[in-house]
Amino acid sequence: MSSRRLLINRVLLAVCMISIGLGVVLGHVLVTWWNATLL
Amino acid sequence: VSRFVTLLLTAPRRRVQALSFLLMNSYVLQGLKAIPCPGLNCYACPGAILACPIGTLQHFAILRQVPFYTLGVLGLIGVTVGRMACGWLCPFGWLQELLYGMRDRWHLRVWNISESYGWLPCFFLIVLVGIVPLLTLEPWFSKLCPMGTLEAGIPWVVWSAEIRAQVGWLFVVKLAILVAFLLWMMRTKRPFCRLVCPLGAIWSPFNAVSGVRLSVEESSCTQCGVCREVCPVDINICEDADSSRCVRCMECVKSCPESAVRLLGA
Repeated sequence: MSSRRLLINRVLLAVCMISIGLGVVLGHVLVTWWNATLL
Repeated sequence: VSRFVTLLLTAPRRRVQALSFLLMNSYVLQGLKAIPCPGLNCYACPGAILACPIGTLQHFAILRQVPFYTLGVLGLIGVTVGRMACGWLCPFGWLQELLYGMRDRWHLRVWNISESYGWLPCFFLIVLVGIVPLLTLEPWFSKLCPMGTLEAGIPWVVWSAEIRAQVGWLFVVKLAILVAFLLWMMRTKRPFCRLVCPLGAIWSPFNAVSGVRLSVEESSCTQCGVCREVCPVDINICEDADSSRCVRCMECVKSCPESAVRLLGA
């Protein structure tokens, strides 16, 4: 794998991991807010 | 039936596909529906244990929220193995390959698909999975999805009298789409993957930069065409080893008489 492809691969990997983390955190925050406010 | 069984048991990939279908619909492993399924498998199937990623994306479009988690998981699969999940894990891909394998027995003429229609999955992804649910607040791709009809629509209509009573024109349309695709699958290699599948459209761009890739040694390649013959999506891997349509099934790697096609890992 060329260094350019490898760099893109690693950057995308990092973006995906951040996205998953963001999704989990936001999901948790939303569920907590939902439970606290609406239920 | 015996041809189906032979197809199931001869190649290890078929066993992985069968195992994947059984696991995704194992029913007993409940509680995993927060995890996106690495393939087209209906969330509403009575035995399904994972979430349909396309259904989730539509759900988020309706809620007007960004599906960070689902996009992240799909991206992680794409960046790691490209479209390999299409070739090894997707239950609908498996069904299409099994039906295409029946064409010789039934003496069916093969219908080829022009490569110029390769943009259609992107169109369905943007329009039916993104824009239409956003505007109509209804998940229209899921409503018409032939896999949904096969795995969820038909079983529920057969199972529940209450749901049977609600059957209307939409179910007839869904059924017609499913039958059309099932007939088409017997004559064409993976027509749904090549012309419709929005999940494949999401993973396609990752093929060029994914950790797992194919490479063709041009000096060894004799252009014999065996790779295209065995390819489930009918591509000539010698011309483009990074093809966005390649499902990384490895059939070309196994079949190349000159061992010119190889698997590379990052």
